[in-house]
Amino acid sequence: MTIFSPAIERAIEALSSLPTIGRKSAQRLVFHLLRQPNEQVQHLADALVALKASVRYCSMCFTFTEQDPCTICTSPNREREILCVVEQPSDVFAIERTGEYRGLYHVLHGSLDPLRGVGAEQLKIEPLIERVRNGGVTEVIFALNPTVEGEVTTHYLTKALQPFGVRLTRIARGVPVGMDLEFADEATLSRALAGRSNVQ
Amino acid sequence: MTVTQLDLEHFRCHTHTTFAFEPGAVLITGPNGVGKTSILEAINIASVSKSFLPVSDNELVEFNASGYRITTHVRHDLGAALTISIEYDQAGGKRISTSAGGPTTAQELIGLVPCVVLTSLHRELFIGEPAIRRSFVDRVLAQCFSSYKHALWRHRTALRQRNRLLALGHGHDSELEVWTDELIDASCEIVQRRWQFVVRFNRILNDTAQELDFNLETITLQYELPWLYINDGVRSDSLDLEALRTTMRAIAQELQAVERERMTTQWGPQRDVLTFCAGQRPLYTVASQGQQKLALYAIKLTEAAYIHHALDRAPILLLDDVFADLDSTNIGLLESFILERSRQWQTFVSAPSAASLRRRLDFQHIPLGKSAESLRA
Repeated sequence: MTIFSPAIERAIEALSSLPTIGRKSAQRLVFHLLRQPNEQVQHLADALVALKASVRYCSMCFTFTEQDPCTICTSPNREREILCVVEQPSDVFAIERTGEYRGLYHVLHGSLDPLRGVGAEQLKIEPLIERVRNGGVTEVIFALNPTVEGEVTTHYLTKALQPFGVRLTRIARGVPVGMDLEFADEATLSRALAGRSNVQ
Repeated sequence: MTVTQLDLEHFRCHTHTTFAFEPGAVLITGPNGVGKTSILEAINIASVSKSFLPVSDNELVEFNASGYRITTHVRHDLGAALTISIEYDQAGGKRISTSAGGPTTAQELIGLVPCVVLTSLHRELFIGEPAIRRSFVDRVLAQCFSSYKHALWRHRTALRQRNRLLALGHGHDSELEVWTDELIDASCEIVQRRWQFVVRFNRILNDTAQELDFNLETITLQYELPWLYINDGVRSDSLDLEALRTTMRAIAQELQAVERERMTTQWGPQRDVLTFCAGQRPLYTVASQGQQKLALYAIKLTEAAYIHHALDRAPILLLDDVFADLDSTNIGLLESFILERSRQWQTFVSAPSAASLRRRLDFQHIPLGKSAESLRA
């Protein structure tokens, strides 16, 4: 039996269905919203409705965009022969923040994960193969998460793209800049050691 | 390594207790239920984040409390101090932190303070399912090599994912192929490490068993990979990774139809067979209860020697009720051995009483409960 009114309970349930939000956090958010002026809550509701109405997938790279194709795919300043493959649209923003990458992207929307019902058909793999098959791409960079699922997806894509003769690369794995070595986790350090390079 | 102090809060029957320990042998005595084993259990939690008994964290919390806290102060062999704090809250879960680098994960904790445990449950090492001996080997190797921990994690994930695909049936061939490749990679690493471990382990075990001299044929840990056969009788006995990989690939190919039918992977180190033998026969079939107890102790000393060599750090020995079931001769033998080895490895021993020990004054004695009261009186 719940101690809250049906409206509050419905709001808590809706918010706690979001990732990283537990029931306690959802309760805090609901009570915070109840203390806000009507206009502010309306503003939030409008923003959420507009978000869903105007944001869609880019038909080329499958990141989130309000204009299709997205601004990255249509930019004349991008190197169109390099594709960076990532799992999620948030990964595009992470790489963009570096300001170092000038190529295009391809978002898979996940990685191979049979236990969660995600196979190759559920991911944007076929459109990636199509992009490479259509020509004009000379290098595909894999920037997937360093999980077993991410590694296996990279392996799957490597096998699928090898026949096209393009250069296939992956981002390096190592110790974060500015971090003390003693605080790096062992798996990262082991990989950093395995991928050591010559000092020029 | 030396555990210098242990602070327990709401852990088992310890509401707020602090113990100070010295290097060498520590003897904890007291009647049943006063919390002797809990002290050993707490040190083990500081080592691998969980109890050596099959209990959940909720069951470790003192009655009417909402969580427990274990703070373990450790001194490294070279003198550096380290504090490990494990806090468990029934609502918020477990938090691990160390004085070296703030919060850490259970996986990162393993190997920081290496521990070797011997309890009455360890007799299962001889008579239990093969999985028990596999996890014994895995625990030692995971404490010594982070790459092994990583390989176990990769293997577990790839195996579950591959089994799921097999259960889904036909139509996922190219996906099955990449999960098979991943499983082969992780399996090769595990098999190679286990193989090397058994060779070295048997060498040390042989020396230790001879020193203990408990009148049994040579004790060995035998490692078999029955799944590494393929139908034409070919088997890879080579440690060469490439040869191992090629054989596994052939087996995976050979068994594919059976696997689809049974919807589960039929090969891999999850099917390895490890057996403790005396001569050529399983140890439990030829050894008496007392001999089995001494053999277990020899195995645990071997484990400590292996870890010490691999990590260049002295492990801590936790021996729970080791003198039970032994006659007076064997108690004397084991007691001398514990005291001698405790110069190298700090050793915690729990026992109901110190009465049967001839050299009890050589231990740091921590009496609990009624025995503590009578000592004070």
